[in-house]
Amino acid sequence: MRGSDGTKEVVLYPGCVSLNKYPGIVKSSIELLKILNVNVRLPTNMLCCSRPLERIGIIGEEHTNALARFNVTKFMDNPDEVVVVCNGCYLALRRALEADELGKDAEVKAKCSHIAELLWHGRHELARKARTRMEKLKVAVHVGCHYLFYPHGDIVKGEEGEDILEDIALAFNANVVDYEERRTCCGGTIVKWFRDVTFSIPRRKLESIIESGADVILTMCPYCLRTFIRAQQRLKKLKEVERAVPTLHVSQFVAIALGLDPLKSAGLHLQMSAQELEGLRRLLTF
Amino acid sequence: MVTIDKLSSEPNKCVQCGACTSACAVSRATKRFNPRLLIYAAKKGLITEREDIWLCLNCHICEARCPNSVRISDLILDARRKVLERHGEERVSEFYSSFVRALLNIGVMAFVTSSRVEDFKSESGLNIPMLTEPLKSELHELLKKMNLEARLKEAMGIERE
Repeated sequence: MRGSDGTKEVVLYPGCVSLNKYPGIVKSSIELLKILNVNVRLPTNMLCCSRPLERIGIIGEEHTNALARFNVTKFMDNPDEVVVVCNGCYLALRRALEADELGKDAEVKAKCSHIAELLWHGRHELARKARTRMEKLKVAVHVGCHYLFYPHGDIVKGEEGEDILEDIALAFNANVVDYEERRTCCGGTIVKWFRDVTFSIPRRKLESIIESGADVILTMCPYCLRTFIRAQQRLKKLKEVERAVPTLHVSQFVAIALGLDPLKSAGLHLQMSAQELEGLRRLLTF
Repeated sequence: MVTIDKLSSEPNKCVQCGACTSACAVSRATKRFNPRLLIYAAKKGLITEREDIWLCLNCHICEARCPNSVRISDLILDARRKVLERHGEERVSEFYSSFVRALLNIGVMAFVTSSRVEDFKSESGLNIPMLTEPLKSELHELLKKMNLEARLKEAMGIERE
């Protein structure tokens, strides 16, 4: 839908983890959509996409789909497009909105996009507005499985780089480092009682990232971001690492590149230590 | 909608090549998990007997690597669901009942636990209301219609408390 002034209108669905743990992801996303001349509004009330319950087997796909339909019609005023910032929400909402039982229902017309897709489409336009120099930054990208291996349709593939995130990082002249475990899962979705058994999954991934010499991890999923932060806290406690590699959501990365406030807009102080923030500040001179 | 019929032919597409297992992060971490063997168990109708269905990350890399596009992750989720429906699973209610309770009560499963996050949200205009009446009643009506509300409460031990 286009507004009266010709701008695109979307609902930004923030997702529970980003909204209530890392709200800088949501704030950055809103500010970037405005820069892209997109009219953005939030849902009137917050209802979970319910994917975490489906993943455990507590509810089924048909329940997730019905809840998505309720979400979109009741709390989003049935928009043309719902933009998500989380790969889990993406899987749940895109699959639901493209499902037969919803597709046949003229009442629900929304399509689902990931904020990374909008930033990818607008990367060259955004890069022209860049104010922070990223040339010194070494970035390890982690797309996240529920986008990278989205099982129900096509996703946006990389053009200049290997994937959507590498393209965005390259547009802002950052250096993308390759690492052995680039395509593996962060391990965040393991059922809770096996967390200790499988801690080696994020550990292996993080060791590979550290070995690559990356200054930051760039992801497009708040749940993966949370896993990297928590696993590194544990590695620090175990004295296996001295300091964590800061993790940024793609919206936060682009927000910083455009010179938006790293605290007031990107909320970085809510997800990294003062020491990590200072290290990033020195590297990027923001 | 994923139906049992739709998934029932999936295991027969498997040629037991092991591409799924060689790509699987959990299989590298522990010998207790092997998606190739899980699909074999599914073919024999025994997947719900397997303890290792709970080790899957549901990351879908196995499906991306499978030459025959077997829907391995969906088969595993379907098995988890059947186990829960048939005879419950104590660990699920032990670890996840607070999630279900939160969904039924306020609509979200992750909530603010830090005053700094609270302040940031307030200053940024991000205080989207959680579910209150009458919206909560509407959600519960929807769950009832799907025969889900009672099942959720029972499965999570919420009714029993």
